[in-house]
Amino acid sequence: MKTELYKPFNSGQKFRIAPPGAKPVAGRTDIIMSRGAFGSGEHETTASCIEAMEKLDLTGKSFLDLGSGTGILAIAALKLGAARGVCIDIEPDAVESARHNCELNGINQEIAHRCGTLDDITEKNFDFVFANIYGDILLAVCDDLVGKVKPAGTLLLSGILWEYNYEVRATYEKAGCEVIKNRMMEEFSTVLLKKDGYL
Amino acid sequence: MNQPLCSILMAVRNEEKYLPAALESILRQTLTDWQLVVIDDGSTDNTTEILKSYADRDSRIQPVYQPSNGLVPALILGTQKCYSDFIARMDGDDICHPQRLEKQYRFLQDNPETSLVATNIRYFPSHIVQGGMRHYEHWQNSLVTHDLILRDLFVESPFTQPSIMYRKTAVESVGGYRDIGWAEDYDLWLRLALSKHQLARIPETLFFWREHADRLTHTADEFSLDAFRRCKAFHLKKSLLKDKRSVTLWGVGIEGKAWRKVLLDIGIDVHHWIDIDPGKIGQTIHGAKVAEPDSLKPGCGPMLITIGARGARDLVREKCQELGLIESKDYICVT
Repeated sequence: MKTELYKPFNSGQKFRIAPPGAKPVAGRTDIIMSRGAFGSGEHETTASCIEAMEKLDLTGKSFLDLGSGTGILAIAALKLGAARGVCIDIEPDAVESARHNCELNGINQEIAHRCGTLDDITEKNFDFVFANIYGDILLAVCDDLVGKVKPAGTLLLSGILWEYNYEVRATYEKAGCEVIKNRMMEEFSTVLLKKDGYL
Repeated sequence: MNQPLCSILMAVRNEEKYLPAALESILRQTLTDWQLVVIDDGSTDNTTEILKSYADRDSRIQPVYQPSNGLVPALILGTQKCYSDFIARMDGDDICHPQRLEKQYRFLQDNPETSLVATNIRYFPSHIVQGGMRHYEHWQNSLVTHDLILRDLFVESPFTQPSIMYRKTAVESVGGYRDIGWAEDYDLWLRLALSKHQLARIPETLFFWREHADRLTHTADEFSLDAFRRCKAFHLKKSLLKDKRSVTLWGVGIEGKAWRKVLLDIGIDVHHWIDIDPGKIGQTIHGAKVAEPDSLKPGCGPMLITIGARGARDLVREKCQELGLIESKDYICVT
């Protein structure tokens, strides 16, 4: 896989994003990312997701990463203690990129990689759903996505341009979720939701 | 009430579906000293209740109900209730970036010669925004200076109405909103521009324009292509075509012929057509000869360019420049 070197950079309070072969530093956990067509986690949506994930208790938990791209959120989740996860992306190249990055981090056994859409996910009852995709897609898949999370589970949604933020929140609230945190950034927003425990 | 830094003027009718999102985007503004004047123009859905519940919680939101009377009367009534000289227009189905008001207000403060300032816009939701709309968005956002706005003033409406902030006194000096059978906003921009008011755009995306089938621009006669042509012709007659009895039209297509009709209605005939199609050159159409572009000379009379196909306008401009013709004097693009 084509990759290029880049300068390591910190993400959140705990992580450092680094290219393969970078020398570890004290106080930061490295997420090794080869930089290809899908970036390596510099985007404000990725950074905000990682910051939000650091505050969640992922120990021993399962997750679905919809629109997984480079796999960076899945890798961060595993390094934060998650037990297993499913990554899915519609782009075959992205799936390959995620698989490659997971290998670099030695965690491919805990991750199932799929190429497709939410319809291709048969599993349910995930503890967490991560979806850093576009706001209009989040609106379109709301019911199905909420259906993948177990009662009282957590959804972390990002990639939501400002203009979609209100409707994403309203739509997911209507689908039985409570907004725990809504973070508006320069151009995008990230929403953390908790699914109703009785759904 | 005390005079706020900025008044927001909104007119709504049956906007229950999108209104909360629009209001929330106003409530998130970094400039907080505003009043929102919302004329509820005879809504029959839940709009009136939504407005009341927001107004109960925030005294800056001031709904005014009137029996259905139309957009222009609503805007005129709303303007009377705006206490600031800085009026930001907004619609009940769109979204403002949180810094929109602050940046526009600061721009007008810093540029006292400017009467109206728009921002870059972005259509949404993206899955229903078609190619033509993206093209319009791109074109509008490219008009970043007063001169560029003036150059393309007759091509299309250079501003998305709910994205603008203007000086109330400037708009009142040209007669304010009026309803004479075509888009009230475009009519207003044309009057401001032709009265030498400075127009500007902040080249940042501070406004999000919602596309949906019920939008007034898709349903009202005032926004038909023919109404736009009549509006342009009306204002051209007061500017480039003042005291002219005939013009040259570049483009012997459907658009060119539609322009001929509109011009005839205001007493202006076509004395020449220009076209690049060898099959048409030399023909006589509606009593006027079709000539090739190379026959044009500076000062040979006003010409309207009715070629609007993507990319073609730029080619026509290049040719006119090559021939020494001056835009807005010898010719103007009208589509």
